[in-house]
This record gives sequence, structure tokens and C-alpha cells, in this order.
Amino acid sequence: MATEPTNLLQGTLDLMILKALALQEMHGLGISRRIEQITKGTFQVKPGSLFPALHKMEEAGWLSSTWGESENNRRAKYYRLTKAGRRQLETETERWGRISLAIGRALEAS
Amino acid sequence: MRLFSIAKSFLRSLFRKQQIDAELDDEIRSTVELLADQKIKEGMPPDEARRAARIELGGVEQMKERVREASAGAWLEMLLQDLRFGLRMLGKNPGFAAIAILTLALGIGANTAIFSVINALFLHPPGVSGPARVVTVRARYDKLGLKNIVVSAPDFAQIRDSHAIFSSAAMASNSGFNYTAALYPQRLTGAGVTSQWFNVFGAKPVLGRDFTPEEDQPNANHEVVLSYGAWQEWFGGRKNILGRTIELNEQPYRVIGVMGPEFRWPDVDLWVPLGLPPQSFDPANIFNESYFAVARLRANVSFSQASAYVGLLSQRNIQAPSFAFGRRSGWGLFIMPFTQLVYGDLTTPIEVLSGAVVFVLLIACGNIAGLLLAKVSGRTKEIAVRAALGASRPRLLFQMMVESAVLAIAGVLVSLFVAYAGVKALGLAAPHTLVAGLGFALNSRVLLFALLIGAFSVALFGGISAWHFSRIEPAHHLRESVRTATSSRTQQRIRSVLVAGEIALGLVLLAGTALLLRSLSGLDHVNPGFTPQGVVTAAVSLPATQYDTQAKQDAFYRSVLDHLAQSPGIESAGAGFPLPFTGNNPSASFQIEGRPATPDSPGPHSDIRYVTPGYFTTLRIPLLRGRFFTNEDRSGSQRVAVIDANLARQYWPDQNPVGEKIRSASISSAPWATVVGVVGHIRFDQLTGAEASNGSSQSSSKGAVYYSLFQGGAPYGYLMVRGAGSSANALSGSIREAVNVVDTHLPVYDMKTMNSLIEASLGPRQFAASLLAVFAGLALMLSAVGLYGLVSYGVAQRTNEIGIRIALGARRSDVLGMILRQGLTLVIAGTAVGTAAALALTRAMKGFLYGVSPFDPFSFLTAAVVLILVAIVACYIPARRAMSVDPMEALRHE
Repeated sequence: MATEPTNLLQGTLDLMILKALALQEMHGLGISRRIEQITKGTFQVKPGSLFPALHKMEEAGWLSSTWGESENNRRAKYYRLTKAGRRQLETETERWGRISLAIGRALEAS
Repeated sequence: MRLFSIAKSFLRSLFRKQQIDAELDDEIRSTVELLADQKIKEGMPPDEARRAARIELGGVEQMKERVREASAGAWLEMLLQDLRFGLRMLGKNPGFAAIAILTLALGIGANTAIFSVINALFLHPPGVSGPARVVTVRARYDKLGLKNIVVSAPDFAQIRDSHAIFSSAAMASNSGFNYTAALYPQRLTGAGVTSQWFNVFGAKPVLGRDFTPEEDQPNANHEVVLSYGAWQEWFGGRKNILGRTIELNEQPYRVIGVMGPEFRWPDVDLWVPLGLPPQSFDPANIFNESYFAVARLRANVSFSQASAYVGLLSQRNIQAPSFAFGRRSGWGLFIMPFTQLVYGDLTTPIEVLSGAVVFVLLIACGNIAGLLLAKVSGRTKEIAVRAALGASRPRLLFQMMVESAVLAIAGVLVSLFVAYAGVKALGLAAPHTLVAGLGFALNSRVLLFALLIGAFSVALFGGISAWHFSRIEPAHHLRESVRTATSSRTQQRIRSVLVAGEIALGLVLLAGTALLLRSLSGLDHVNPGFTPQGVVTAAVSLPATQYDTQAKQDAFYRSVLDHLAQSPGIESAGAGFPLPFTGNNPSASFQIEGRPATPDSPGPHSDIRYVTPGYFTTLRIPLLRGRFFTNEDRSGSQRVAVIDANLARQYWPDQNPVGEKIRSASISSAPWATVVGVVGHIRFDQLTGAEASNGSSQSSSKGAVYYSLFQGGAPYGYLMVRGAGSSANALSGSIREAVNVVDTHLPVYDMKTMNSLIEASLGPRQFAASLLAVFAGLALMLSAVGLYGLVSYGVAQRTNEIGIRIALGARRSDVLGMILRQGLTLVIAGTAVGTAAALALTRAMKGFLYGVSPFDPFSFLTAAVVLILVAIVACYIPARRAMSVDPMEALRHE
């Protein structure tokens, strides 16, 4: 069953967006599809959560945007990671790894 | 870093708002199209695909709002936007805003003013550092009816030498000085103080220094410390005053220091060293009380510890074998907090007034709550629309809070003016005797208090708005036909309760005021035992250097009185000390010939006065037996005395006292004086209740002995004249002229009519009454406004219904009656509750009322009538509007 990401920590959505843009730049819809793809359908990001997050991250300097043309020659706003964004992705990935390790250990303990 | 990004985002949104907005629009539209494309690819028909895409994305405006909210500087932008919106809304309804702000300002301002004054009076009397550590030392004689009087030098010495308890101690004695170097001879008030006086209060001079112990010696005491006021007024505030010599009472005094502007203890022009000779401290003098003593507690000693210590000291004295008189008279020494002695009289009135002013605040808050409630429900439609357009609940809540905050802040700002004006007005209106030496100013703690109230009101009003409209469901309220009947009914009910409560509070204040006013008017008719109307008095003080013998003093008074007797328009003239209602009331023990002192009773004790024959006739003190003094009763002739009815009743209950012999018990080998007359007893300090002066208290049934001025000596005294139909100005002119003729260098001061002296003694009561009246008036006005608003609003809400009624045939007068009836039910309810509350509360004023019971029905009735009359007017005006509703118009409107 799809989980609405905003029910989780806000940072999780940010991390997903950063990851989705790691390889190439995309427009908003594309990001949402990619997140669905890489999480194997677990996360389905609604536009209502995506766009605010995108704009916040752009303000924070992790993303930059340009207007370009999509596959069907439609105008769309494309987002890409900045250098700071890449750094943020690394930091967040590492942090998330630590957290999940700790939780995993806690759950295994008797 | 965060702050920086907030600022950046905020500035960006500020300056590139439209650009960002347009971009967002584009982005969302493009996303819709992309999504539609995707769906078309999946096989949906194009139209359906586009519609589905739009639905999935949600409303454009809502999306934009969410994006905006997510940006870092969002809340700042929101705040400004709400601020602008709030101001615009208030601007559209200036009447509402004005009433709300003024109401709040009055409530908060009045409270701040009163509490500033309380703070100044009780917690921080000016010029004293650490006032909680300062105590006064007092004596009492339980068996002589003297409850709280000044102390003697030996009393003081015992306190001073208790170094473990008191870090410093000092005493003072009031004196006056003739200063002749000014344009006219002036009388400067002064106090002789011991060298530690300023230390006890922790006060430092602004110029120079205060006294050293060496200067506090009998013949070395010719230094003077000036008060700030005297320095400015008589010596031009010049810095070179230090070291200058000035002539006071024709003696040279060197100026060694100037005190700061707040230090006014006592409230005199200058201080000189007391310079008591060592004999003054002889233990035999322990019963000669004439000094005002203060001491400062050591840091580690509490008041109750010090009090217990002084009690033990007292006990030890009493048990000494030589202390017979002390035992017989119930002598004791005790301490009292300094602030309590100086302001003790004010405790009850201040309590009453604090209560009153809190009532006013409650009424003000009630009005504002009602106003806001009405306002909010009036905007239900608007709020519903905005919610439907996408405003989130927290957003709407925030915006309502900001609107309330704007109101509250404006109210607080205006209240500062009100408070400032109020404090100044209080300072001017308060009777001088009560508040001498007080700097009335707003102080920072009280300001904080005001701000707190402001914050509280924001929370309260915001909360009310939020509560009310959290029940709004957009869909429900947007339907055309829905009347907001239920919500407005609850709202009306709440407002009705609020207004009824206000009316109740108003009645309590009105009842209190009525009681006080009745009491005051009753006091006007109290007979003080003499006739004060038409008498003008003045004070003189004969400097010791010039008037060093009794003969010279006598000559002065005789010449002045002779001169006055010949002045036109003067019916009678007299002189004497003390004068009634001037705060002096000396008393002393005396002996009766043929009645030896019994071991356990303290012996006869009386008030003691030195007077000329004219004293009795000018004041019209009635003669009951024997005769007044005559001009033959002078030094050298047989010593005489006149006693009053109370003394006669007390010590000669069954016999004629005329012919009896009495003499002073304190002066050894004083000559016997023959009682030659009995006069009526007169009130001397207060028109009613226990006599009290200078903080001393004694019972009013104490008798008085009058001695002839010419047989006793009076270096200082009062002159009095009664004029046949002359004005007070003319009479005072005559006194001045008469003194001037006899001695051109002698100042005549404290020129007052006898009536004004008596009125001054009523000062505290009049002050309290006028203040209470002001608050009652405020309360009445605010309640009336609240009632008017309520009824107005009700009429506006029911315009439809009224139109229908009239169209169906109801008479206009019926409509008027209906509205009035509803309003008046409220008023009656409020009055009833208020009367019950007042009955419970007015007993607090008991000590203040003379001749009027705290449950006086006439006062209560008056209060109720005034209230109901005002309320009727407040209801009538909007009710009249109801009468003139045009049914066609009414039915056309929603």
C-alpha cells in the first residue's frame, strides 16, 4: 500500500528527491515518477507535497532549475542537483544509513 | 545561516513577487499538460485526460499557496500580509476600532496608574533605598490612651546602642527657620536630625556631604544640609553654595551639602544637626517624648526578630525599680515599618480603589470580548469563502490572531498615555498631606505589568475569535438560505451575560460612591465644638536671639493683638498654641492638689494648650462655668488654668472644678494654677473617630487644660482673627500688617482659613470619594457602551424579523416595546446581581463611612436608579431605530 511521504519525516522526501536527481535533471512530474520507480512503488508522491518540497530545496540551494522542452515539446521546468545538493545527498545518505542500522540493532535486541 | 536564508527568501518574495508567481503558474500548467500527455499515452481520451490531470494536481491557487507556505521566509511574509490586512479591516470599521482601542486603553491605563501609585506609596517611597529595612521607633501609653506616639531621647539611645539589631539609627525633631536674606522674610521648614539620619534611609547628597558625629553637638551644630527644592528655589541651584554661610533665625549656618530631589524625609527645606546636650539622654527624661526616631535593620535581622527584641527592651525597662510611672501608665516601646507609619492611613482606601479599578478593567475586557465576538460572526461568510478558496485553518487562525494583536497593541500604546496622564492627575489631586514627598511617575515594573495585560488580552481576544470560528464549516455557511441563526444566538447569549456582568460591577462601584458621598456630606455637618466659619489663622515663630525673655514674647503678642483689635472689620483676635486641625496635639501629665498619686495609676493626663483670652472668643468655644482668661492673667499674677468639659467630667465628676488647683507633673516645683473656668470640649484632629495626629493616636475623649499664653511663654504660636463680614484675603492682610508693624523682619506663614484646615483633615476621604466617583463614571460609561452595542447588534440582526412583524401588522410601538423589554430584562438582572455583590463588598468600607451604614438603602437606591436610567437611554436609541425599519427594505436584505 502506498505510503504518503509527508506522513514520514520531511527529510525523507528531500532525500528521495535528491536521489532521484542524482543521475540526470528532470521536471517535477518526472521526479515523482522516478521516486515511484526507485522505491518499487512504495512511495507515490503527490504533486501537492512535491512542489512545495522542490521549491524549498531550490531556496536552500540544493537544486537549480531551468526551463526547457520535454519529450513532447512541451515547456517544463527542469531541476538538477547543485554541488551543495550533491554534498547534501551524501550527508543524508550516510545519516540515514546510521539511523537504520541503529534501529535495526534495537529491534534485534531482546 | 538559517536567518540568512530566511532573509534572502523573504526579500526575494518581496521584490520579485509577481515574477515568482507567474513562474509557478507556468510550472503548474506545464505539469498539468505533461500529466495529461501521460494519461493520453495510457489510453485516456484527451478531454478526460486533461480533466483527470487537473483534478490530480488540485486547485492552482491552493497549490501556489502551499508552495508559498513552504518557503523559508513564508511566515514573515504571512505576518506582514496579515498585518496589512488587519489594518485595512480596522480602517474599514473605524468606529469599532476606536471603541475597542479606547476601551482597552482606559481599562489598562487606569490600572497602570493606580498600581504605579501603589508601588510608589507602599513599596518604593522615593529617596529611600531598601525601604523594607527601615523602621520607625514609637512609644505608647496604654493606660493614658496614647497608642502610637513619638519617642524620647533615652528611648532612642537604647535603640541606637543595639548594634546587633540595627545598623544605624537616628532621630529628628521638626523646627522652622526664619530666613531674612530673601526679598521678603521667609519661613523655611527644617528638621534637626542626628548624624546618622541620612544613612538610615541610604540617601546620599548630590552635592557635598551630610553630618559627622562631631557636628551633632550642642554648640557645634551650625552646619546645614539643604533640600534639593530649597536649593533650587532660594539659592538659585548654584554649585558654589557649598561652604557659603546663610543666616537662619539670625544665626550663621554653613552649607555643607545638598540632598537629591527625591529625598524628602521629612518634607522640609533643610536639615540641621539636632545637637542635643548629653543631659537630654538622662534616663529621667525617658518620658519626655518629642522625637521622630527611625532605624535601619541589619541585613540578617528580620522585622519580627527586631520587634521581639524591642519588646524585650521595653520589658526590661518596665521592670527597673525606678520605672514606676512607666508601669502605672502602661508604657511600651515598639517598632513599625516606615512605610506603614507614613502611609498606613491609606491602606483601606487603596484597597478599595484597587478593587474598583480592576472592576473597570473587567468591564473593559467584557466590552472588547463582546465587540470581537460580534465582529467575527459578522464575517462568517467572508471566512467561509476564504476557507473554500484554500486558506488553511491554521492560516486563518493566524490571521485572526494578528488582527487581535493589532488591536491589542494599539490599545496598549494609547493606554500608556492614559496611564501617564492618570498618574500625574493623581499626584495633583491627592491631598498634599498624604503624598508629600512623593514623586508620581510611571515606573518600569508597572509598565511591564501593562504590557503583560496587553499580551493577555491578545491571547484572550485571539482565543475568542479562534474558538468561535473554528466551528465554521465553509460548505454549510456558503449556502444562500442558511441563516447563521444558531451561532448568532449563542453569541448573543454570551454577550448578554457579559453585559449583565458589567452592569453588576457598575452597580457595585456606584453604590460605593454613593455611600462615600453621603458620608462626606454628613461630615460637613459635624459640629467640631467650635465655630470654624469666618476664622482666618496664621503662624509665627519668634527667633530665640531676639525674643529671649518671656516679657519680650508677651510684648509681641500683646502688640499684635492690640493692633488687630483696632483694625477695621475685625470682630475678635487671639493667639495660642496649638491650633485645632494643624496636626499638633501635645499632652502632659498633671497633678491635682489634694489628690496624691496612687501607686498603680499613672496619674491625670491631658492635652495642653497655651492661649490668650481671644483664642476662646475668636473660635467661639463655649464657656460652661466660671470665666475665660483676661488680660490680667499675666506673668506675675496668680497662675490660672481653664479646663474643658471632658477633663472636668473625667476628674471632677461630681463637683465643681472651678477653684481647684492643678500643676504640671513633669516640671518639678511648677507653681499651682487655679482652675477659673470650664469650656466645651472641641474636636482637635479629626471630625470623627479616634483623634490622631502626626501618626499618633489617642482617644477623643481626652480632656484639655488651657494655660494663659502670658503665663507660659510661647516662642511659636498661631494668630487667629474673626472678621465681621470681611473676606479671608482682607483678614489675612490685616494679620500680616499687624505683625509687620510690630516686627518687620518676622515672617507670617501658613495663612489658612479655619474651614480649610478642617477640610484638609477630610482629605483622604474626599480623595477616595472623587477617585471612586471617577471609576464609577468610567464603569457606567463603558457598560452603557456595551449595552448599546449589544442592543444595536441585536436590532441589526433581526431587521428581517422586524420587517416581517411590521408587514404582518405589528405596531411600531410594539416593536419598540419588544426591544426595550429584552434590554431591560438584562439590566434588571445585572442590577439585582450587582446589588447582592455590593451588599457583600461595601462592608470593606466601614471604617471610612461616617454616619452611614454600609448597607444604607438610600445610597443603594440612588445607585440603582442612576444605573437604570443610563441603561434605558442606552437601549432606547437602538430601539428607536428598530421602530423606523422599513419592512420592504428589511425583507429585501438578507
